[in-house]
Amino acid sequence: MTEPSIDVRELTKRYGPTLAVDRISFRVSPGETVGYLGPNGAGKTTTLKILCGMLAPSSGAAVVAGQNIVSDTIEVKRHIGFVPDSDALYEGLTPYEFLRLVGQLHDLAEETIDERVEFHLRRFGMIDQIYEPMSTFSKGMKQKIVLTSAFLHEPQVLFLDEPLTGLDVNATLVVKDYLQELARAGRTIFYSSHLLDVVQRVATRVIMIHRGRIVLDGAVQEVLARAKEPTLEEVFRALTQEAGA
Amino acid sequence: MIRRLLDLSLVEWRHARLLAQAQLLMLWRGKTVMRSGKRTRHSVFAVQLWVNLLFGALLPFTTGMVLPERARETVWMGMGCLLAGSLIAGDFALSFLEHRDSDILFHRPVTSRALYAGRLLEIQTAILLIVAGFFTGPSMMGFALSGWNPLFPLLYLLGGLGAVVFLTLAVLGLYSWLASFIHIERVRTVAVAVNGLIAIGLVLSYQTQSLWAQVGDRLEQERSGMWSYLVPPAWFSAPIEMLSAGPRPYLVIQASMGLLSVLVLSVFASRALGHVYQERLVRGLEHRRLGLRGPRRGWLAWMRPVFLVRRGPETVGFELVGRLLGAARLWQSSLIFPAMLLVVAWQGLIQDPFGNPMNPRVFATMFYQSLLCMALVMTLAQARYHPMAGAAWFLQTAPLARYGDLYSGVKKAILAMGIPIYAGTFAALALLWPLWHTFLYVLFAYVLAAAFLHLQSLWSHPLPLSEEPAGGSSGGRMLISIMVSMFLGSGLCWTHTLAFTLGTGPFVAYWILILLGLSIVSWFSRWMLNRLSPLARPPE
Repeated sequence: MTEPSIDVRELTKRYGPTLAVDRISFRVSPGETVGYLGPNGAGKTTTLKILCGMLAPSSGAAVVAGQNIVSDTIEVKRHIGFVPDSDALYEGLTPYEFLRLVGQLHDLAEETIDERVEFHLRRFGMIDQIYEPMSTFSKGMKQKIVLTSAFLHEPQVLFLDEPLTGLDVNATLVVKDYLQELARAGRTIFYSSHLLDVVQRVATRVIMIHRGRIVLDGAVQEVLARAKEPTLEEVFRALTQEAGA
Repeated sequence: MIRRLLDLSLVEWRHARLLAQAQLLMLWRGKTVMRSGKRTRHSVFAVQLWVNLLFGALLPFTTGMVLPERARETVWMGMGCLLAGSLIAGDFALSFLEHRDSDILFHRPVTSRALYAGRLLEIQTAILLIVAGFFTGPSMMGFALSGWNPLFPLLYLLGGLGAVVFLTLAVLGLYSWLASFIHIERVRTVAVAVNGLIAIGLVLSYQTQSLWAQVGDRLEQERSGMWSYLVPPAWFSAPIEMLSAGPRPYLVIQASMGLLSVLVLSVFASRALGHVYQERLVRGLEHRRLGLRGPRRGWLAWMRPVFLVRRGPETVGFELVGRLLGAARLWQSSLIFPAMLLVVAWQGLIQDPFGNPMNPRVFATMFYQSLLCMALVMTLAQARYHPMAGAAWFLQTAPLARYGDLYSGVKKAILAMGIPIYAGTFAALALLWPLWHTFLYVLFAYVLAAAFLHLQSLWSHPLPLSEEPAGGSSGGRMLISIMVSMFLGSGLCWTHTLAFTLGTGPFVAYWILILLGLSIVSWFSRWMLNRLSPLARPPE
């Protein structure tokens, strides 16, 4: 049996008295694209940040890319890519300077960095802005750089938190195509978003979280068939209303 | 060697260097504050470098202290000036804990020690660059005075830079250590208050600098006494003192202590505090996520009737300042001016007019007082932008026909926050001076602050409330504002002193004029701001 890319067991996170994530467990295999859904404040970003080694869990365990997220945090970080929900960038740098820094932090060779930067920026239509300061960029342009920085080291597992924010139609298509390519190549994609129609098209499986607990986990087609709903949006509405009642 | 001392692996050291390089690059580019010509832009950091070079070059002329035989005094005084800068640097370093770096770096395979070491490298390099500018002037002057002894500039720079590295690391270490016990926001509040007081006390008050040097002078009489082994300035002035006194054993010991202290602090800061850095950052994020430090609502509301805040937009503006977290910074900024009043009073430079004749240095003091006013205005302006800039989007889309009313509320709230602070200053000074004199002294300071606040809002109004391009550099406007405030402030201080010495009649008349002027400035500021309303503009 293939070793899972993400293995989460009874993961819990507390912020003082608030329970943000409540004993969640799931496994994700290589090549799977999982849509991680939930209403605002459900605990999606917290889960992602725990799995990326940015937050420590209060209890429970998780293994990402074969490494324990608590004891082997740095190893985990070597194998993951993360796109935060904010367009967090060093705006004082140019795209080339920023991406070079990211590549160097991941110990990539100079030529590899240059090659991949050129490849991704060309796909996003940003190659002409490679030496311009990012402080002048629009939200969508910054998001393209954030995405490139996550793809640059070709991570085994990709954690995406609202990755399409601010992107134009062409860029959205580029990202969707690229994610499908990565999945075909055996990479794992953990995709958190509110855009359920996009998730329905990109993801093979969905996990829905509500008030810190998993309320649904299954293949997209199975979930739709089981719920007898045509879209994930309808399933989402039914489940969150049910859980909230 | 440094890498081994800090116990960083080769990879960590490489990461630290990369991060420091990137941060320095951003610092150098920074926010443009001035432009010269069409293409040349100067960042805050670059301007700071130039200003320090200028101040450093002026230092020998203003103090006449750069003589080889008075080397210790020179370094002591340089230390006094630089203490402030180093403290601020420490605070600046702390700001990393609040930065969005978390989303950029914390999911990268970089250890917290490497991140912290990178930050230390960046801060130290930036400080060294700035300080080198400051010390170059005096060292060149001393070079000439020492008969072109090449060791003088070398040892002078070595001592000065060592002192600064020591101070920065000590402050950074102290704050980081504090951060492992109390929330970073509270550390920051303490840091800003302490830094502000020390910086202004030391740098702006000429007399404090002299006092600093006098202390050095007195202690000088016991060169090899026990004190010199315990006081850091003595460690760092020891190398240059060896030029005139020779390599005496006590000087060698002191210089070695300086070197050792820098090494110990470097190791301590990097090795012991690396984990605090990431832990505090993560915990800081958690606090922010839950909004545990929620805004205190309506805490200024009881002051509304005192300042006759009108209903409508003016109340909105007044409440806005009270509700936004940025108001905490206003408190810190507002502390600076009253604190300076106390420092000046404590030094006895403003003579009691009922007892002693006017001190000839009063004019100079008054001049510096105007600088203090300027400092207050600058900090107020900075703090004011903070809440207002964040709120600009909803202010611009709100159905407000008259911005001036809203802004007037904001200004009244800022002035309201000054009341308890100035009342405290009054209470402290009343213990030393006659009541009326104290009252007028504090009131005058308050009125000056109010006047400058109104003037400042005239010069800087387009920034917080309008999306329109500023039309020129904000640095240029700030510079004009500083110059005008400086001259106006010193003029007002001088005429205040003059009116006081002429008698009660002229003094009362002076006050009437002052209050009249304040009303005119306030009215004019509101009128100008009301004209700015975008809703009043015809559609294009």
